[in-house]
Amino acid sequence: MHEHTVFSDKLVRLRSILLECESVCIGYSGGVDSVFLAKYALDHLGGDRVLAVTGRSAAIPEAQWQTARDCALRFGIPHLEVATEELADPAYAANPSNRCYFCKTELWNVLTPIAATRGIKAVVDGSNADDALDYRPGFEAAREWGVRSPLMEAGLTKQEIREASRALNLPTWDQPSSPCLSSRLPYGLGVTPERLRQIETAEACLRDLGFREFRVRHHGDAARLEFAFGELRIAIDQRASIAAALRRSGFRRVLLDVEGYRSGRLNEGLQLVQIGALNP
Amino acid sequence: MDFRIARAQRLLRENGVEADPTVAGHADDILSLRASFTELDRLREMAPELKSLGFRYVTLELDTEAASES
Repeated sequence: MHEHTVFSDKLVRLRSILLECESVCIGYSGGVDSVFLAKYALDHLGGDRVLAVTGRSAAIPEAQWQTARDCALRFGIPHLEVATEELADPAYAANPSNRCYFCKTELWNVLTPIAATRGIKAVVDGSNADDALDYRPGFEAAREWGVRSPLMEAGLTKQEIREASRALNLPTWDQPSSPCLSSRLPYGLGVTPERLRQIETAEACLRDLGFREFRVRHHGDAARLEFAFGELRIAIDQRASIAAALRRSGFRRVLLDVEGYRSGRLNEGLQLVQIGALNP
Repeated sequence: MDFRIARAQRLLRENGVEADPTVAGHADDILSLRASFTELDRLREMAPELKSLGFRYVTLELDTEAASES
């Protein structure tokens, strides 16, 4: 009962944050969080005060654009797609540990004028309360551009957003987390359209084989596969098909990580002090 | 030979795991093992110790055909 009350209070808080914003331009990737935020904003502000904008680049898989498009169409969310050029920025392409800062800087640099020309008062993103616990250099860019994070401000966790999404019949409620394809490259290995294409093709093949929670990590000529614990043994049973698909994607070596999938594994080598410093 | 590989070989042998270790990845931070897939659970248990030898990840070579070519 208490948990339910806290959850309800957070949704009330979210509504009041959105009303305080008056009108919102949402960084809309088609993931669990931004789809929920867009639908909730639509329900409480109305269609003339909401614009969901998807930044399109090679770092976002085609399947995710499609989800973004489908949800906008299905629920009547005003939607716009714009090209973003983060790959043309050498600082981003070098893939430093604060790569997300450069990506988000480009995104907000594109979205902010769109909001301004349409008289939209606030630019917002779908960051949630759990994100504050991870290493997210993109927060710095959001702060610099004055972008608000209503879900985080309301204290909503990923699990709560999934529950609320389910209640709203959003098809994304149980969709696996979907960070950009560049997150599959270890820091220091350059982000190129070719590498992103390899990852996208390989992950699409694994989805076609029936896997849901996994990552293809790009390590040059080797692909390191992380599967959720429940899918690890299935992966071993299907290893011939997996290896063939990954080799077709251009990888010479196909490696199965024995520890499996955990979100943010490429951040594990970073110092906690750095996380504290960059998530102010 | 990479001293980390020699140590990994010794550690695997001491634990009764038959495996052929190599280094992989652009940053040479992946321990790649050619071993029976029935060893998965044991290798997962050993992963922290194997990583402490200087690797970031412990993996099983899934594509044995490619491994034999390399």
